[in-house]
Amino acid sequence: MSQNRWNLYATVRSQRLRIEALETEVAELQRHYVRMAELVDVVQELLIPVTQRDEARIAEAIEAFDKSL
Amino acid sequence: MEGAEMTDLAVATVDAEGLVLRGVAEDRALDVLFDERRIWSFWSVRDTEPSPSGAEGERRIAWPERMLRFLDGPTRLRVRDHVAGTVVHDEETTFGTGSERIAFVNKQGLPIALDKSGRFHPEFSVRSGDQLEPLLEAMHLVIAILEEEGIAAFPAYGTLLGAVREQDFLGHDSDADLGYVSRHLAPVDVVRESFRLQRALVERGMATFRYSGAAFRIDVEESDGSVRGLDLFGGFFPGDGKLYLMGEVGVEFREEWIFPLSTVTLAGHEFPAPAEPERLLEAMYGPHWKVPDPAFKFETSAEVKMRLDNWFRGLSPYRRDWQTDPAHRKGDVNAPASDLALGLAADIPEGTHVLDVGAGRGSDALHLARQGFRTTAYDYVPLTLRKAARVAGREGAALEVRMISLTQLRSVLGEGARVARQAGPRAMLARHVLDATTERGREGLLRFAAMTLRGGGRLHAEFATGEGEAGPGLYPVSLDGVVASIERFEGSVVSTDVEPGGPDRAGRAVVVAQW
Repeated sequence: MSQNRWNLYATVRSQRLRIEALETEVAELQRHYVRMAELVDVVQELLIPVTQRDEARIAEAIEAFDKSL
Repeated sequence: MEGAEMTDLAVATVDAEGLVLRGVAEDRALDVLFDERRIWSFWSVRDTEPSPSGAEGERRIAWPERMLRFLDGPTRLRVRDHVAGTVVHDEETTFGTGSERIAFVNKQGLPIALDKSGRFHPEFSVRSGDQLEPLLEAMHLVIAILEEEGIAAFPAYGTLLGAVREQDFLGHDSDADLGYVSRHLAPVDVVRESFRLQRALVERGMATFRYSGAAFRIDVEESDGSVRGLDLFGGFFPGDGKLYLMGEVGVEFREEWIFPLSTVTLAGHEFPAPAEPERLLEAMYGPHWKVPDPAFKFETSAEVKMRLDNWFRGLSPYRRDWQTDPAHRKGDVNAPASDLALGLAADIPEGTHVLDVGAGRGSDALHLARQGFRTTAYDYVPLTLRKAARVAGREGAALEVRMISLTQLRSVLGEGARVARQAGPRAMLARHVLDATTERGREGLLRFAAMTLRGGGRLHAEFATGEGEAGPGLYPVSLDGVVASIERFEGSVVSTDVEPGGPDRAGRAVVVAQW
């Protein structure tokens, strides 16, 4: 009986540690959202003028982009 | 019974330190009035501590720090139960040695009072309709622009509360809030949408400041010349039956409580509102939202806060401290240059473009511009640099002031690309930047250095290091950590120099790195 209880405690303890570790990992993943959004935004706003190789438009796009932050 | 308890509540003593209440039996919202005007509100239990006397029902509260400088002279001091309206204290009182009656007014002479976040603001209740009109118009304009962008925005938080409960602004509130619920399901798309909305508003000539991935401020200039922030909060349904709204909300919620929008009346103007605004108010302010509480504090659960933090926050850490620190607002732009700036000036050839990142008041940048170096002074609150820019302009010194937010990848990449396209040698000065930001900001600085200094440019950085106090707004960082980060961003360390601190005082490190 007491052995069973001890096992139960040990299980609960290890599960709790596992949950804490998972929470940390989830938080790490959640923090990528802003980064990802920032990257996509930069690429979207600046890539098109760059691929068009239009110097004036590239300069204009960079200037406008900085202003919009 | 309850009435009897309430009248027992009284103010035992008033002095330069604060108030002592006696007969405190339950938590009540109390207003403190100076010559008939409410200046401050607090909760009789939540915001107070047991009186040192230890007497039962005696509790003390200190005057808010920001109030202290006003407390000199006579006044009629009243303390009133906010909800019941009962006066628990009413006495002519004199503070300090002043003979003029205490007046809480700002530089423009407008009456001010403390809002719920403990800052002084002109109150809506002392502002005339004429003063409110531009804010109401700005709300209409912003809502209309957002509508063109496919977003149905509505007054949120205190502004929605005022509209639903009193059809007016809440007297004790100080800014107007707008909210919207995105149709996107993933935080990354909600953030991108918020970027797009900010861009649309900037294109219409509005000044903005981003708080987080899902919220930003829109500055509205009012008829009296004061600038007031209109805060725009994004929200979304991730698909788990919950509504998350930036700021404070994360609750079980139905889409039909938001869409289709209904309307509310605010100061005689009609605005869109959630389908059932009461549901959203309950989510924001709890089940007692109908009872006025001028000293309300959000009690967002740790779980919701953590989610919102991880999803959206971290883009402008320490902003409020930075903006309100008097050293940054009032420091002397003509102060002597730092040793770091002098060292950098001695290290670089004529014609070098100096990037002073985290320039604060701009005294170093101004010095370098006066030396003839083309200088760009960066801060994430460039307001602090205005004076330096004016002085440089008058003198014809080559100083440019720009905004960079090291914690925002877009800002670093955008500005990095802009600078990298310019010809000529460059150097970077970063004095107390690495120790004034977060890990994300340190990365941002080194990324900016890597982009702009490529080809032999040098970074001169100074920061607090080691254990102990480093000064307001500074958080010591490890020298090894900085060196490792520089190497990670493909820079090479030229020299390091550490001045050790004293007991409880952090040391100071100077690092020069080259790309």
